[in-house]
Amino acid sequence: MENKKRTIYVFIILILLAGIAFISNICIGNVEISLSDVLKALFSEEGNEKSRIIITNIRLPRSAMTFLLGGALAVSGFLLQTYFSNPIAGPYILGISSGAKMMVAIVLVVIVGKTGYSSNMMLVLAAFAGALLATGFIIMISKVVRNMATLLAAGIMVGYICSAITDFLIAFADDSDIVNLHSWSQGSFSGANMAGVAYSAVIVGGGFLLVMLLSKSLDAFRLGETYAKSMGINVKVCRILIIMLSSVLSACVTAFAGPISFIGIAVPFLVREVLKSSKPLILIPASFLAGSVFCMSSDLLARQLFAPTEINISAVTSLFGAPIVIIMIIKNSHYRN
Amino acid sequence: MRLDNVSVGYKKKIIVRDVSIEISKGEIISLIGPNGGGKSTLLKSISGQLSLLGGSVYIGKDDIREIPLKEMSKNLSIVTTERITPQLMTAGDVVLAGRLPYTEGFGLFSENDKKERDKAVKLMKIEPLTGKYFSDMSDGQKQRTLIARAICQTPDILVMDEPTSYLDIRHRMELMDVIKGLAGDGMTIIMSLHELELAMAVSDRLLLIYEDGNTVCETPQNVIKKGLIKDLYDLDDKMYQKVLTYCSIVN
Repeated sequence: MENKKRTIYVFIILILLAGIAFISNICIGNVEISLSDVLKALFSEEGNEKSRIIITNIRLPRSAMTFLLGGALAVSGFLLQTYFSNPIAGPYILGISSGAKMMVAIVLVVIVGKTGYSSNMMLVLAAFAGALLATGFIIMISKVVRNMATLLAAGIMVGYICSAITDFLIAFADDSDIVNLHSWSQGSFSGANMAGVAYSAVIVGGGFLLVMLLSKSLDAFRLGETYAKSMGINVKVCRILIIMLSSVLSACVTAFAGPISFIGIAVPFLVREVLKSSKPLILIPASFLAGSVFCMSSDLLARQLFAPTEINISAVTSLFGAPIVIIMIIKNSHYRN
Repeated sequence: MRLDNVSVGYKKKIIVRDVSIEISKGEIISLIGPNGGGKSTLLKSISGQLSLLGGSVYIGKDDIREIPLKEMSKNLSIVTTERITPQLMTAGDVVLAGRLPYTEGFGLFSENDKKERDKAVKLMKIEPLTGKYFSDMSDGQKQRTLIARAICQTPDILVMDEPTSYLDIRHRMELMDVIKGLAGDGMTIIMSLHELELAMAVSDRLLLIYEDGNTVCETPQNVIKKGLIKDLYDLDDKMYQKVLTYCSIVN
C-alpha cells in the first residue's frame, strides 16, 4: 500500500517537473519571454511578432525535442540494462550511440556531401544501422565475457573506435560540413526544427508504446531467462525485440541530436531508487518522464550557463550523470560483498 | 506425463539415454544418482528448457515441443539451482511473479492471483519474509521463496532440481510434508534429491540415473530389495550396509 502511494507521488512530481522544465525552456533564453507572452504568441494573433518567431521556430521545437529524446534515451538505457542484466548499461557507455553517430557521419559526408540530398528518414535509418552494428558487436563480446566490468570496458572501446572513425571523416569532409558535423557529433539540440520533432514524436511514441506492451515480458525477465521462459515468455523473440527497440530509440536520439551521454544509464537507476521498485510497468513511464526532465534541464543549462556561447549538452549530462554512475558502482560492489 | 525413449544431454553428447516412463497424476518421482550423472539435465529437458536429443515427452496427449509456451507455463513450473538476482523485488513480488502466465496484456495481477500468492506463501511458511527484499535474504529463505513461486504458478506438474539445497533439517522435513500435500491434491512432483533417506520416505517411485547414462525406475521398496543403490553409487559392501542402516533408521 505504501509503495502504491509512493508511486503516485513520484509520478505527480515527475509530471510537474516536466511541465516546469518545458515552460522554462521556452521562456528562458537570450531573449527572455514571459509566460503570458508565450501564451499570446501561441494562441492568439496579438503579441510581439519577434517573440512568436523565436518561440515557434526555435524554442518550441527544441523543448519538444529534448522532451522526446531525453525520454527515449532513458527507456533505451532501461532496455539495455534488462538485456544485459546489468544495471550499469546504456546506449552511450556501450558504444551504441557512437556507432549510430559514425553511420550518420558516413552518410552525411558521403551522400549529403556528394549529392546534397538529405532527409530525416535517411539519417534515422543510418543511425539505426549504426546502433544495430555496435549492439551486435557488444552482444558478440557478451557471449564470451560474462563479467560486467569487462563488457563495459569493451563497450567504451567500441565507442572510441566509432568516434575515431567519425573524427577521421570530419577531418576529410568539406569545410562547410565540418561546422555542422562537429557540433552535432558532440551532441546538441541547437538544430531542432518542427519537422524533426514530428519524426521523433512518431518514432519515440511508437517505440514507447511497444516497450510498454513488452512490460509483462520484461517483468518476467527480472527473475532471469530460465524462469521467464518457464512463465510462458518467448525469450528469444523478446530479446530481439528488446535490442531492436533500444536501438531504434537511441538511433532516433543520435540522428537528431547526436550522442548524449549518461541519461540512459543514470536515469533508470535514479528512478528505481526513488520508486523502490523495478516493476517495468511503472519503471518505463517513470524513466521516460525523468529522462525528459533530466534532458530538458541539461539543455537549458547548456544554453544558459555561458550564454551566448552554447556548450554541448553531453558536457552537462556528464557532469551530473557520471557521479551518479560512480555512486551506482560503489553501491553495487558494496551490495555484492 | 509420459517419457518415451527420451535421451538428453548437451550439444550432441548424450548424458542420459532411453528413458521411458509413464508418470501418473499426483505421483512423486525422485531422481537419484551420483553427481554429474545427468539428473539436472534430465529435469531441464523434460521441462522444456533444453532440447531433447531423442524421444519425446508428453503432457497428456501433447508432445511438449508442440505445446505453446503460455499453455506449458500453466501446466508445468520449475525450481532450478540457478541463482537469480532480481533487483528491488520482495519475496512477495517473487512469489506473485508465478502468476504472470495467468495475466494478460501488461501483466497486471488480479485479486485471485493475490489469493494464490497468499496461499503459496502460507504453505511455505514465509509470511514474515514477504516484505523483505529477495536480495537481502539468506540462501535458505531464497530457496523457500522460489519454491513458493513455483507452487503459486498452480501447475499440474512441478519440476524441482534439488529443492532441499540450502534448507536446514526442519525446513527439509516441512518441505517433504508440503510436497506430499500437493501430490495428494493431484499435483505431479518430479525432483532430484541428494538425500536418499528423504527420497525413500517421500517418493512413490525413484528414478535411478547411473553414471553410464542408463536409468531404472522402481518403487523405494524394490530399490532396497534389489540392492540397486550399491551399483548406482558404486559402493563397497561395507559402505552399502552403512547406507542401508542409515535409511532404515530414518524411515
